[in-house]
Amino acid sequence: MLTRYAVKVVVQLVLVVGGVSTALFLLLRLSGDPAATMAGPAASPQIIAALRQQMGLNDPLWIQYFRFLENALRLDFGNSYRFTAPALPLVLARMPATLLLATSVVSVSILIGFPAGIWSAVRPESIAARLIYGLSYAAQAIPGFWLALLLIIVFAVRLRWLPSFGAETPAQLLLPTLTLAPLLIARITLMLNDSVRRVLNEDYVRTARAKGLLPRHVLARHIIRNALIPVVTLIGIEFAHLSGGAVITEVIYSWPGVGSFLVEGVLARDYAIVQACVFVIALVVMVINLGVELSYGLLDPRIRTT
Amino acid sequence: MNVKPIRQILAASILILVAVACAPAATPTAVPPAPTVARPTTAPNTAPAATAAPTTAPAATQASTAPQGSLIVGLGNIPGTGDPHKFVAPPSAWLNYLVFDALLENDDKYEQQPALAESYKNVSPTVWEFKLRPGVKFQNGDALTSADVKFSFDRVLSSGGKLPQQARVLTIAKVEAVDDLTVRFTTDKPDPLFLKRIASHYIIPQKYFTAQGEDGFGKAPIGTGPFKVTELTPDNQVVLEAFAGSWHGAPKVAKVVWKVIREPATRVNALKTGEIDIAQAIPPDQIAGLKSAGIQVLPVARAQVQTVAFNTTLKDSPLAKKEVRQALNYAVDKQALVDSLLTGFSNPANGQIVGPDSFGYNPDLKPYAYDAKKAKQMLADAGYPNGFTMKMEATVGNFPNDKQLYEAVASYLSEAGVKVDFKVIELSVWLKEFYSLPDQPPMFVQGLQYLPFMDSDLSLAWYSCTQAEATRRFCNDAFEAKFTASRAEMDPQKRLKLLQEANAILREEAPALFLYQLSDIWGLSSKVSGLAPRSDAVLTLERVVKK
Repeated sequence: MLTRYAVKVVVQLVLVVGGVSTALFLLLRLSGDPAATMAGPAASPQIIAALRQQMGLNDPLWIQYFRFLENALRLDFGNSYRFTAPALPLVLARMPATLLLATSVVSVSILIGFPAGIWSAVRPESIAARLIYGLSYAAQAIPGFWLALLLIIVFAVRLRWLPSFGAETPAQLLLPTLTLAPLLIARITLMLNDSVRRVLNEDYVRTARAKGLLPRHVLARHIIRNALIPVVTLIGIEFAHLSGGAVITEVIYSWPGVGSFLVEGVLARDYAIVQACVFVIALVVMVINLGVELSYGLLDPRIRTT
Repeated sequence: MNVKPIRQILAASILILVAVACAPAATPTAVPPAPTVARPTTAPNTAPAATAAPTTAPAATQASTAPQGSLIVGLGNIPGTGDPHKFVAPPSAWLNYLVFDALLENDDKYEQQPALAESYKNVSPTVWEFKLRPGVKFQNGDALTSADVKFSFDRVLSSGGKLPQQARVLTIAKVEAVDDLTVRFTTDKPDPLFLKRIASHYIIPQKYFTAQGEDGFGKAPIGTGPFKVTELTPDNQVVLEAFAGSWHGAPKVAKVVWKVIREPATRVNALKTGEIDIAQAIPPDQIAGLKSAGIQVLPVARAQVQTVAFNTTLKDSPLAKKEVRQALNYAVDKQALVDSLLTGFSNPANGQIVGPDSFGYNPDLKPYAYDAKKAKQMLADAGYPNGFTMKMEATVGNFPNDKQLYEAVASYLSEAGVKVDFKVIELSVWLKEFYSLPDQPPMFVQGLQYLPFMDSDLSLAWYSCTQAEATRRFCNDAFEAKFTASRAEMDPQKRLKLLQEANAILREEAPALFLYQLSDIWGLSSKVSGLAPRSDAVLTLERVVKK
């Protein structure tokens, strides 16, 4: 049972990572000449030709592809021409910053979104619930880059409470988190609200109440636990998404994460960096998805047995 | 549901946020002192020795105060490696200048002065001998010897095109270490650019480089310059510390940190909050706001002339006719473009592809004055009374408003009767087309970098008949004669004249639409002074003082 599951996961991983890498390999090579980009506009054609030879770009595409596959199996994505160093360690060095920001955003969103979602579902007519609805819709409508600039102007430039960029002190984590969290808080709140309200009308909830269980026990054991499944899926997807790097936020706050690194790599035709980034991101996404699937089993015993 | 209270609360919170954002800053703003630009204490200017008289420099004189404070610089990009022969454009050029030295260095007038060499002589037209400054130490304590110099040149000359620096020292055929402090260079033919080439080539320590290997050296470079690299985290930050044992004497600040801040708005904000002291590439529309916040703004002309390159080699193309090319130059109001879209922080190009800071610049040449009527008439006289349609391509996003600028050029040309089919392309496509002329449209926006210390030769070479066919858009006998002669002329004054004449022929022949010379805008906190505005890819942080 467990072996079958493990095999399934590994096959999925190989298919996804392999497929993404192959598509990327072809797209990158169709979209421009890294030798010319590397040499710059002032270089002579002779220098560019020498660079192409050195980078192996004169070989037929299929030879380049097999060389890429062979090296990728050894986790060798080649050297980044911009940093003249192996790509994978460079990308891995950016991962902690990205994961830290993703974890911070998801934690803050859960801490605020869970109570807000449950409260607004259980007391839908209260003022607080209306405020929660209003703020949730507003938060979904605010563009991230606008919010980021506004937060910098207010908290860094005017009030001088928080640093405007960087990632060396805990205080520098605050503004990027505040930029990314509102959207996720809103989505968790609204989804949990909807999910809880649906579960509230289920027969087993009425039965639990009829048995004379305390309302908070009904809420904790019967309502929330069942209502959580779609929310966990949402959090998993968002966490995976954030682990691929929040590009705009990373750029605005100079947050040294993997998203801005990937975009810079694409713009500079730094194939090695792009491929290593995509490999790492695909891997992290697969791991998170696996975690989400396993958590279903914890929440709902029926899923464990199927 | 009653939404009124919610709306009120929401509106109130947004109002509070916006009010705080728009209110005047809490800190008082002071009018900054005008940026002071210190001239360096360099040796007296010595003409390249065509005679065998050795030139000697006095020992560098520097302030005796110890380096103080740390300087934080916000850049759009930082070097990925500290290897000075691998990347030669900014931001690498900025780092190379601070960490390494060449045998000669360029002063603020882009003339070559003694550096690691204290004297040199021209033994014969193709042989030069340099005496090294005694007692120079690398940052790891090793003494500089002629073996390091020979190694630094041989490494590049034998790289087979792998190291871009090779293009700058191509004429050097042989380097010999005569004794510990004497180096002899042999060029393949008399080379008037020789001293400029020497001043562009940084010296690295042979022993340390060999022990570390190429990658190791790139991560922890060692030079003889005023700053030592103590941290180089790719795409994040570079930390430099003052090197007390530098032959220059110690720099003014003890520590310099370069941080990657890609977003211009973030650089501007960080400058306002005081988190950084110097910021690169300030958007022109932010200048007024920065000045009112007490920030100094320093525009520096970029050693690059923006042009629309014409392919003149196609026989049936209208651009094969000189009159048509001139007409297109008359059709565009460059001053209006500079004033409106570049907010005045740039200059129209004076009918040439180099700026006033380049050796060979011709001060007598004037820009093609805007004259739409004349342009139309010239087109009619050339056989195009109804104009023609032509493709033009450009990359955008390189400086503020560039797309609007090229669109304005296209619309000026269409007023004169030339319908321009303008297309924005990506840099990779631009580069691909640039190196394979058949793929390139007849009009192609090109910024020509001219590196003032390497003189006009670098830019003029693009218009030589000797360009490889794949990049040759122009070939003219009169120009070629002057250009070829300039490459063999060892007398600087005669050479200057030849280059100026070559520039005059190019203005007349108009192989391009001469647009403007851009400026880069630096922002400096009011605590900082001493940064010299130089257009030769040098950032003089060793002279900067922080209060």
